[in-house]
Amino acid sequence: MSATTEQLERNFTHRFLTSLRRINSPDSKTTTTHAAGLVIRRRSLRIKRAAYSSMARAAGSHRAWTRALLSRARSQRRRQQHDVHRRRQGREMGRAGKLRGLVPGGSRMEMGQLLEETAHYVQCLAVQVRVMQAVADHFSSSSSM
Amino acid sequence: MDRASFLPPPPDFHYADSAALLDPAAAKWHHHPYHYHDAEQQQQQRLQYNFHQQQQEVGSLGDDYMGCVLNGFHGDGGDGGLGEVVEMSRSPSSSIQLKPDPGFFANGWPDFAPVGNHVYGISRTSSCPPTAAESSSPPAMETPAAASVVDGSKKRKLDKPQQRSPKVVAVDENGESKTKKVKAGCGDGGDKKSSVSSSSSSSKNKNKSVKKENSGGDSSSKENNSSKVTHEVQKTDYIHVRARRGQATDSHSLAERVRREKISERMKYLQDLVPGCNKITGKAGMLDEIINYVQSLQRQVEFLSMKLAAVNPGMDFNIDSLFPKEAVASGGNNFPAMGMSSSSSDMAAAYLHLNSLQQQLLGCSGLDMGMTADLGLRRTISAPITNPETETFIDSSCFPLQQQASIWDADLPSLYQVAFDQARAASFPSQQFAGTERGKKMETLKRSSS
Repeated sequence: MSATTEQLERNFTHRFLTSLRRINSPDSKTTTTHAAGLVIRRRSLRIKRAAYSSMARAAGSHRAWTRALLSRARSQRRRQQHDVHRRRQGREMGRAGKLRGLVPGGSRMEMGQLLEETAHYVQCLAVQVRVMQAVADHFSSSSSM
Repeated sequence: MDRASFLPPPPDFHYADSAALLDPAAAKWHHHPYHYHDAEQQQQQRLQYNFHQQQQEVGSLGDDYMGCVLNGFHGDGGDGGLGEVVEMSRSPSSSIQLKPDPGFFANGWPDFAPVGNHVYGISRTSSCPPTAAESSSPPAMETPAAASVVDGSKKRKLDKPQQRSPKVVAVDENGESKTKKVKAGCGDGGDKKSSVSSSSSSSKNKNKSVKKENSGGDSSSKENNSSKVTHEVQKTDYIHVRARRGQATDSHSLAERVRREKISERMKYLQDLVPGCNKITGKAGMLDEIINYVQSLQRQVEFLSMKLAAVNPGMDFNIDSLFPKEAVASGGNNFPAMGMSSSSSDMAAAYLHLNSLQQQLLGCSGLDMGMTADLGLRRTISAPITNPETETFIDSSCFPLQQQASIWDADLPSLYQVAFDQARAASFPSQQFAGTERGKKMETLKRSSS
């Protein structure tokens, strides 16, 4: 397990940093036309999306949630907001429904698969948070120097 | 009796007793006119061979005796459903409807005439340890005894399905085959009252050939069961389920039970993943914990992305240097290979940043800076806190940075456990934030920690 986690972390870090660079370098967007707060907000959204996308790619497409995440990202990019939110499983009330809402693609899965995907999703999320934390720390520490 | 004709028992043939057990039977069989309609050597040999290797050969030797043997034996193609499950023990008068698996019985065993009491006599004399458990249940009739003997052999067969024939009831072939798999073995006698195992197909193919088993019912009903042995296609894979004592045995409830066990297994796995779930029993509580955990992780991601967005503009030049280093985050030995994408002018800066970041990420061995660096990191860590539990997640994220060496070895669950415990002792530091959102979160943090 640790070997795959390591590999996943490396993969994710690579992609994430690449996309970070891409987001930060064209600073034409972040000109003073917008308020500073908005700029940050917008950029944070992009960073968040980039983080999820890079994690989904790093985790591999054999997982249902990664496919759902990537297809959601693709459809969002094209400005079509497909609401595939509750397609398969009719709105399940209670906890299971909440979990379905949290895990990407969860509305289409049945309970057993949902739990399995949740487990993998949780692991990847943990890796993601860890790496993002490290990157943020590094940036904040070097900027404060 | 010709011993010579006996094939040597296979090396994995555990129950040597049965050999002795079968000898008198064989002798009896020999002499008994019923069983050898024609005193064909071949048949005799096969018969004896069959006795010895009941595991593989499921032959229709006799209604009741071999009928019992055949119970749950065979396999059609791997996990093949017990389509050809034989019915147990019935009255001698009934005839076995056995359609033996062609793979098994290369020589189609002739359907022996009903044996009558001889079989029972034989089986009663045999005493096989595995059947001790079975025989504990008072045999209402003789057949249960025979059944129990056969049971032992059946279990044996189930013990080593693979060696005999690929089509034997696979104890657990598919990925799906959990739990119920016939826990072959004489050990679990409690469940093995019934010699019949029922199988339920996986959810994929509802093609079931379920052998009705009346595990909870009276033993006398056992012999009254007579289900057709249907010739099942070998290539389907089934989940083999054994209905437990006192439980419903129809295919639906079996499938339900398989599903439920699958879900509970996954919940247990999740319990290890999510920190702080050890005390929680019950699906609802666990689900709540899981939901909270996922939500907190997602909140952290959002928070960190906001932080990165705020912090980043000053970091452009660092990213390039950072990039190669982070790409090999786990390998400290990759240091020399680091500067592949950065120009020589950046190398110095790169190494500087590499160093600091590496210390954080790799937790290089000399990292007993432990608490100091920990606090330093924590100061910069800003995380949304809504409940004390999320504290642990924050701390857990900083711990890995330091104890990297151990992290890669330790599994995530243990890691988070450590973090969880340590976080409880540690007080959450206050941090400076910029930006409204973070300020808000800081407030909630202060509120909760106060």
